[in-house]
Amino acid sequence: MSLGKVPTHLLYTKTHEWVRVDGDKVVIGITDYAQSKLGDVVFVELPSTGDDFDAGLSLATIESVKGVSDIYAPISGSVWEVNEELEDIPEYINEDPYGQGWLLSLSIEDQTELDDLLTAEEYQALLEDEE
Amino acid sequence: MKLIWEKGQSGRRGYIPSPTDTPEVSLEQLLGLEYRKEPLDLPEVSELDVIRHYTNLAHQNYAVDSNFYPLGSCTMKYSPKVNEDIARVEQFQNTHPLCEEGILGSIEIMYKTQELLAKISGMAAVSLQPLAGAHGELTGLMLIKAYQKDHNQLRDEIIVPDSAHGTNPASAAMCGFKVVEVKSKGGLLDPEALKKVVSNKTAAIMLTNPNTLGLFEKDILEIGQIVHASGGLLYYDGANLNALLGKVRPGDMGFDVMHFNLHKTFSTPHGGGGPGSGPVGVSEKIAPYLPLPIAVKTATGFALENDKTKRPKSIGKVATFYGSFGVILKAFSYMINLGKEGLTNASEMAVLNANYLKALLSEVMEVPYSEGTLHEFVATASGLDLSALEIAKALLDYGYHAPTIYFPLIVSEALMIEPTETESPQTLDEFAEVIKEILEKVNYHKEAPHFMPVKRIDEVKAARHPILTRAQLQMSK
Amino acid sequence: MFYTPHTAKDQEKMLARLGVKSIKDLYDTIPQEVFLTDWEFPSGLGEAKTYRYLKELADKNRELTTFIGLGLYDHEIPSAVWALAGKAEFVTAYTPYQAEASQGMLQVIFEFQSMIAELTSMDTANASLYDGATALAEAMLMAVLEKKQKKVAVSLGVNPLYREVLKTYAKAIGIEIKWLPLNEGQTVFKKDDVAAYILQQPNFLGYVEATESFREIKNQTNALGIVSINPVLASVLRKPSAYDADIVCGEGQALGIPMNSGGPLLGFIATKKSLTRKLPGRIVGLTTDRNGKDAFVLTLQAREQHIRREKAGSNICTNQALNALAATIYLALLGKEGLKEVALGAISNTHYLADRLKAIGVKVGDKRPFLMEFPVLLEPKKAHKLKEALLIKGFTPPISLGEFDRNFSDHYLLCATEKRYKQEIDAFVSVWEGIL
Repeated sequence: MSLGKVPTHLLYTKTHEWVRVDGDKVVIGITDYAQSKLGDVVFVELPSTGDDFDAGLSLATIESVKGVSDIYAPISGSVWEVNEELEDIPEYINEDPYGQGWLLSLSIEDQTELDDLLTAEEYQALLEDEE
Repeated sequence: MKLIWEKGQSGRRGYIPSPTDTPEVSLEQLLGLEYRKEPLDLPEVSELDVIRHYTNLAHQNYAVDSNFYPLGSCTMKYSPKVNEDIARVEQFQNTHPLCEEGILGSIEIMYKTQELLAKISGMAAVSLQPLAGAHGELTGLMLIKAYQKDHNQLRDEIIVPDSAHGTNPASAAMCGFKVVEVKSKGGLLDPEALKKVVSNKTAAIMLTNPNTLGLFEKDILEIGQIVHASGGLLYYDGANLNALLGKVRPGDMGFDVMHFNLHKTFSTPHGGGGPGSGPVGVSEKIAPYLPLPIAVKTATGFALENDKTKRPKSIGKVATFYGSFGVILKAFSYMINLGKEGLTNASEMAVLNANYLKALLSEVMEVPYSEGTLHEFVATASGLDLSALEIAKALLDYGYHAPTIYFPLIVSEALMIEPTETESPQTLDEFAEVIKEILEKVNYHKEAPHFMPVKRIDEVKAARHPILTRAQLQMSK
Repeated sequence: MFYTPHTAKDQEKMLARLGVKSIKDLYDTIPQEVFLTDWEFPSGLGEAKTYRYLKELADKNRELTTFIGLGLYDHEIPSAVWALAGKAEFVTAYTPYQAEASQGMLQVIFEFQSMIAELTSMDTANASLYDGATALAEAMLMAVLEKKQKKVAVSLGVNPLYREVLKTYAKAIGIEIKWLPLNEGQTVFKKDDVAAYILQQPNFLGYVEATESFREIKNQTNALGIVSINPVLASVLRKPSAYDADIVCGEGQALGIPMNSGGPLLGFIATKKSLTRKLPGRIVGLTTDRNGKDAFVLTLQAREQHIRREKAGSNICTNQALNALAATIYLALLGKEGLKEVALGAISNTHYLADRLKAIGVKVGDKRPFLMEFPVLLEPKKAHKLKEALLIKGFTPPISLGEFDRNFSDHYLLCATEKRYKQEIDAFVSVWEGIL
């Protein structure tokens, strides 16, 4: 199976979320590899803006015909914005996981938590291990 | 495709209720603000419109009476017609459950069904109240929770093997238990792996035996000792009981709580997806916790016991009345009709059929956990040129219902096949030949089905933009 | 009687193919210690004797003229309902997993969902639940999961049998129930921090609740509104959406399903669009096949236990499909006008019964408007005498509510559906006259 695209400018988690730092916030989505594993996404359940999450907690779920996946908070923070377009067009996650398929943004509480995330290179290695 | 509404005309009538000969009440006056002014959007069709519409829909359905239906884990056996005859008797149908004097015969049947199920399973007592297998599971876990709590045990974990039905972990989680999964080894539960997860937090282990691979958990006695020694209980998922009638009983194997699926093992039919019935059986020590009411024998006959002061430990009611009586009646009819010899024979022929079909299919498909098959087996399409889904769809074209696919999760590309005892070896021979033919015409069957009322269905579209009612259909247009 | 087709020769041939000597060898993974050598169980009667024996037991039942309800009603059932629902293609199929081979049952369920959505005034409905009590329990669970709040407020006007089931579920799941008292037969709402307010309309005494107070409490709180309804009476009662209900559920037995000593029944549940993906159980959707032709399929399955396992909101699988089919056929036959006529007939008969009883001096509980059921007050001694007299004459005695709800000792519940004739009602009342 193809490991999919792993853009170098992003950070990653072991649970296949990508993270883009944008000032005092992070934008979060799932990786190309994750979307292809999941198959056709049919529904996304997102939190409300203002909800607080600790790193590692489930903050959203993505449903495909085959199954359901939890999306875990890569860092602690409160939800700043969610991608409301996904409600009507969940297929964005399959078609453009790093662009229109973004899930939500979180305010950063603790900058040091970013250090625990994987670089593109580390994530690529993780994928090769998994396959 | 036309819905029933589209078959009608405004003002057409299908059934006119008998005219009432008492003075008509003015609803607007009686109800005021609580009156519904808006008309109901229900069909306006004649009786013949209705008869044609649903008769034609019936023809679009595969069923045991018309097609071989080897749906694994579902025990799609033939349902004797005498069951249906007896269930239509008016003295059963036209009886209200809250007038005990009118249902003494029904209560006697409930009591006797409890007794027969206890004998078959080796359990001490049975409640018929749960309305389906999953409901029986939920009730069983409620019993376990109540028992453990009563014994001051803060046990909040339920152990479930990775081969289990999805209902097992779902039922456990519903009752607030944490689910601990234990990996199987060679398709069976490994006592060594079990020892590592059993602790003073273990409330119970849930087991299907034979398991979802159709294999008997041969270490069941040791498993029972391990769990019991830690203070946990043993739950038996009766989904596969059809393999064991007259051979071995859950009670003798050490199980404390179990549920039966009367629609599977006892032929009550499946009804296109219910109604079923999921009685629970329990050992002596769990019996005081059973739901009320329960049928009992009295000095003068049979009665429904509903006295909480006599059974203070009861978990209470789990259903509106006493269970799916109409289904219980058919299961009782089946049990007394077949009797000891007939039930044992049913089990034996189910096992013989599964082993025979497995042998035939093993020539063309791999059966990964093949040792010790009882009533069903799981083949895999992995390594073949067709997926499990494609084989399933191709089978429909040949007039066979497909096996259960992609379950259990521990076999990739799984095809779970349960022929049941009521199929002849000739049917199994033909089925095996068809599978061989399908695997020879790969390209053609990739597009299957070709001859069904509809072609392969777009499930992604259905889930992304759900249209679940006629009103939503009209809005989408 | 055996239903297995295997001849001795078949068995021989099959065993030979397997390379084993006897069937017993196929069971050699079962430990010897527990393998049955013999077991106590009666020998088979065979078909004819089975039928005769069961007919004898049926004769121990009594087909009484029914004047009771409390969640289960003796309505007329058109012959066409079970002529169709009894068809083997429906009866001997299973859950429509293979959509291409199950379009018939799938379309039936789609029509059922459409009719239930219409009756409940909700956007979506599921394929069915076990019965009215468990449907209410599932609705409670839905609200608890949605609001992440393990507390609900339940009206004491909810059928006491349903309340018992709610209590059992709540105890196992760890939900706290706040009971809302009745005042003069009407639920008194109190502002509280709960996941849901649960009401029954009409309540178990037969009284019509004033739904504005339900709407008001919903406005004042963040809770969901759950209403358990009677589907026949829904045809004449204010739409639950008009008083802001979020989940509407109930018992569908009245829609063409015989009483059958209490089961199998038919639960239903419906909700607003926004909560659709929180519904328990099977749901059928309309989509297209690869040629663009309309096709039905089980959908939104990611909610369910077989995919979500321990994270599923409910453990429920398939259930009651055949009864959902019967209800669909019933509603198609009765149609727009027929269902309202059934309701009106039942209400008129019930009011006639109440008037006749009042006329002979029976204390009828008529503080609130009632529809198809109403309570009467009786002294226990008289009630006992009355019970015996009614049974002798072939009538069901009234339901003693004290058995189910201590607040209502001395209260007895009566009901007269559209199936009752004036003459039957008069004969029923004359038995009372003789006793009181």
